[in-house]
Amino acid sequence: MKDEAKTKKRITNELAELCQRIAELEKVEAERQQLERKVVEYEELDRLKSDLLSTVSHELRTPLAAIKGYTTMLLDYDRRLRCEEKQEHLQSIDRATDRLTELVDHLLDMSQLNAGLLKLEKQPISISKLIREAVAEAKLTAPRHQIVLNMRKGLPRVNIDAKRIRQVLDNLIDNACKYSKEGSSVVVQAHRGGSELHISVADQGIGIPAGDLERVFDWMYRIEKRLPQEEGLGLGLSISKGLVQAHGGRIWMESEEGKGSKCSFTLPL
Amino acid sequence: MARRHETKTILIIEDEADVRHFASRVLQLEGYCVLQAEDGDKGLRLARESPMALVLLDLRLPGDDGWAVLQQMKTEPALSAIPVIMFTASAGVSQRNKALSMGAADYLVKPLNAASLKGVVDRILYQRRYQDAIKESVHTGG
Repeated sequence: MKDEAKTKKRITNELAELCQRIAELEKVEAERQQLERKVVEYEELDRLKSDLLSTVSHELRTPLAAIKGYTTMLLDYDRRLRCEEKQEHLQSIDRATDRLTELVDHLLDMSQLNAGLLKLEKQPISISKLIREAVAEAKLTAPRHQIVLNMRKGLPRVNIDAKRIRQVLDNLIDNACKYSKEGSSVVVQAHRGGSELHISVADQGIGIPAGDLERVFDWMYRIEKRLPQEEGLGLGLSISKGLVQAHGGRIWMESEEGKGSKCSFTLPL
Repeated sequence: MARRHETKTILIIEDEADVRHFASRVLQLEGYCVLQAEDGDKGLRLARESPMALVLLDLRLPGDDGWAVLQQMKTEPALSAIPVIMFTASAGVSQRNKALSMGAADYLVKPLNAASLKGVVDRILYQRRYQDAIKESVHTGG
């Protein structure tokens, strides 16, 4: 009986020890798996950074090609070019510098937003006036689209960085025109809803697949999915999201493929 | 200024309008006849329709990209002898090596000045004329 008790105790001890070893091994395995996931995440991030660098380099070189090309052409062939032609080439250089400026601004905005360093210069302004101005300018830059403004009267003044919210509006209207056919409508709406201001831009364009709706605001996704013919880095929506959130607002996209998209955002009152 | 070339035709396949017009105008001023295509499909169609002395090809194109167009040109007997100069904003060494190993005659990275563009096109066409002359003399036993 004594021996049996001793054996039982020994087995119990051994079992306890074994359980402890298993628990330790499980812990080590879980840590290993977590590390493995981290390595995969870092590798993915590294690949995306490399993709971003290569895309940025490509996007900077393209307008530079126009600037360098036309400038040297004007210098080398000056006497053989007519005045009107020189004017056209200078306009191409001008367009290319605008494109470069926009790219650099977008990169700077993204890096400041990511680092939380973007400073807003808020002051109370008339949102109605800001939206009207954005729509009026869009009608000039996209004359082949029907840009419609549907805005309630008497919208309150809001405390915002006017330049940044105008940037969001311009980006949403520009996107709506870019991804919809000429002649179709782009509707800009604004109304007060409780303690928020709701602003939306809707188009009748190609729409976005349901699975991509959340990710259109993700810059990494945009870099990955960027088409060769797309101009720019595709960072507009990511920057818009950052700017709206910096104001304490929300931004979201609704869409139906083949029917159109509607991007809405709020600003707290 | 068609002094050194009998009007040779050069095809530019490039989707960026400003860059395409620049390259086209410089080569026109140098006496070449220039055809333009904004995508690979149109470029290949033009290359099949009329004899080309040289093709200037961008890498990033809508639809079939520059790689697909280069590969197609090098496998199609009627097009394989046409020298293809890659003209791209992708500056990677591996891409350059890949293009040259696929049969590209040269790999130009944007931005590029007018004189360099003209210089490279002239050089490639001169080399081609020289090679053709050697082949000709071998055939005729001279």
